Amino acid sequence: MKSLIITILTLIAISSTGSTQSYIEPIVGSRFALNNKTYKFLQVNIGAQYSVRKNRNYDILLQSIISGPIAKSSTVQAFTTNPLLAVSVNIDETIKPYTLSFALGHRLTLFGGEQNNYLALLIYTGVVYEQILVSYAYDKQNYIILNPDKTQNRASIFASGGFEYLHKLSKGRLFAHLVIASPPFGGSIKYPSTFGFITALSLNVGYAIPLTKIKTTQNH
Amino acid sequence: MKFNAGFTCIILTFLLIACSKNQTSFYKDVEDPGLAIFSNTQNNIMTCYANGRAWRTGNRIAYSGWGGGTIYEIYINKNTTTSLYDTIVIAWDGNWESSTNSDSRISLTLPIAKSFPKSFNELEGKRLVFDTTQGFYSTSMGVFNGQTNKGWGSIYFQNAHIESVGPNNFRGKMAGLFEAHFSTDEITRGRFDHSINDGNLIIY
Repeated sequence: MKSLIITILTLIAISSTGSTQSYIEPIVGSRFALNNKTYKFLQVNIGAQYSVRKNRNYDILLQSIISGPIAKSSTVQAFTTNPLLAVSVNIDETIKPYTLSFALGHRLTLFGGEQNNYLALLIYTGVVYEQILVSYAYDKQNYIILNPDKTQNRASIFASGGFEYLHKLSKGRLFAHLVIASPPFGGSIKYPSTFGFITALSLNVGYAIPLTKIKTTQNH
Repeated sequence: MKFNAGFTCIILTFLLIACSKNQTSFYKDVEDPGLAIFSNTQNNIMTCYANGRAWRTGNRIAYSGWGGGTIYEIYINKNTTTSLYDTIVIAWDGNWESSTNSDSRISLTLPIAKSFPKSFNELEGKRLVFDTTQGFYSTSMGVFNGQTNKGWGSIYFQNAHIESVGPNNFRGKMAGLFEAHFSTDEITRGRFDHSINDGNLIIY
């Protein structure tokens, strides 16, 4: 938290200097799990980032993204010793992953910095909270699930990186990026889960809305 | 070089602690507080409610090196009889939820065909419901006031497999659910998941 406050203050300080351009950048997209063979999680991303373009080759970014689930369900087995009931039944298991992240990022122009279309390298580090919610609908009085999953939560640091394509407009910039994010650091889940915290590939699009007037000739 | 007795004791204690391994995994069941999940991954544990209070088997502890050996949470005795069927006695040693020591026992005695271990393997996937004539439970649990009378109930073997890997040398696993009823007491929502080897399989 302390480092986040320092980062925000740094960004404000940078953006208040005369030779920078700042933007607010709404983002939407999807997030696919690269790990988890049993459950290929898919999430919807909504977020925003505040960027400060110090020069034509470098932006510093402060990003917050929330990722909501597209629920995954599968069938598991539950059993009973009650002789009046079927010995086993198939029940539905629903798993919903939620992710909330705050990150400090760097946008480094790789190609085409002086043109309208250019490619940038993205690097983020930050904090993330991930909750993978597990639920079952079944007769809990009589049946017991074999090898059940359990809701998992973790708050930790994470890192991500990827590439971004940007297109300059008369006012602002359109962009699309492909980013791979680590799961929350902290090792594997200490439970025999059929899933793990998510290593995600995100495909997002966004629009950079300029906040301050350009005071140099070629900054956005 | 001189060693005093205290130093020697400390070293021996350290060696004993360092050479033991807990072979039990307890994963809490969120639906049944105090009990472990129902699993079939050889977590070496049985848990249940005894009159509504959580009870669990002790940890399986394997000691290596000098003085080695294993303390098991379950013993399976296969007894040869002169009648049509032999018997197996499955005995779980344990205590109340908060303790991993074992000072009480829950046992199940079942008749079994003489073709062991094939007859044991045939239990896999079967739910047995019995009164005290076709099999019975017994217990030395304190909450049952030292009750030793026979109990009735049922058991489901999600898996049950033993195979011979050499002369008088067996390996196997067993997992399932059970419940037992005594005249005034009951054991409910029992679940077990064990590996089996020569140390806890005793054949007479």
